[in-house]
Amino acid sequence: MKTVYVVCATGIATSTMLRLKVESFLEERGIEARVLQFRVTELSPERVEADVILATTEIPPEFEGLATVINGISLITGIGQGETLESLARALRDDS
Amino acid sequence: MQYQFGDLLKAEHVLVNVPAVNARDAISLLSTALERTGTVSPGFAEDVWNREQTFPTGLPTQPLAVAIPHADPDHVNHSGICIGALKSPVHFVQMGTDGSTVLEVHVVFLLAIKEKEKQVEMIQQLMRLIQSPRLVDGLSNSGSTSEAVAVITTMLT
Repeated sequence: MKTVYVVCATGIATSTMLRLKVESFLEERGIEARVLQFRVTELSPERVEADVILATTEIPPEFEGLATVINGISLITGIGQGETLESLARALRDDS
Repeated sequence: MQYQFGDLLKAEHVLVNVPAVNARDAISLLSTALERTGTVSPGFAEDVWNREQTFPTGLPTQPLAVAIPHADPDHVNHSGICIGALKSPVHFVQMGTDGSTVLEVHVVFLLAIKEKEKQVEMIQQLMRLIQSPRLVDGLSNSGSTSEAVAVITTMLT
């Protein structure tokens, strides 16, 4: 199963918002994926098992190539969130 | 989706015409309101400000930008939110950026979060408030706390 990490600075506020949005979007689309919530300092490039990292904080460049990194701010503001959710869906569809 | 105003907010935590001169001042003034009700302990404002400098919380909502400063639960006694409509906007750095993107923030939502698992509903309501353009506009134009409370109540029902 594909895995999505939702990530913010404290692992409490905005990552919860991301998780709620992503879970309802995946359910609506019938996409099966695990959604795991982290604070950014808990992530280590050696232990990434995500297909997508959706974050409201800057993700260090060493994670690029390990997962598709997507900026999740639009899911918090609601401005442009449709596009962000579509890129999430595409990243989870890719047979990689 | 019938929410009671009190599920999310106390009237004592809704401030209008907040005379903040900068982001740090806004955090401090809103923290004082949370301290008065025992929601947080002294030290919370400093925690929030320290975190804000590393992980900024300005959000480019439209038509007006907001900020959602918060911190680890060390100085939080129980969860709550303080909403402050500022007299004049102050600068907050945009979330997820390195400091180069600065927003003119009109409304600040100061979050005190104790245990994340129990706060899902509160966070869900907060997200609805943040994403409602009429809310931020309405709060900025509120002349009194009771007006602001009425604006928020309308958004939540």
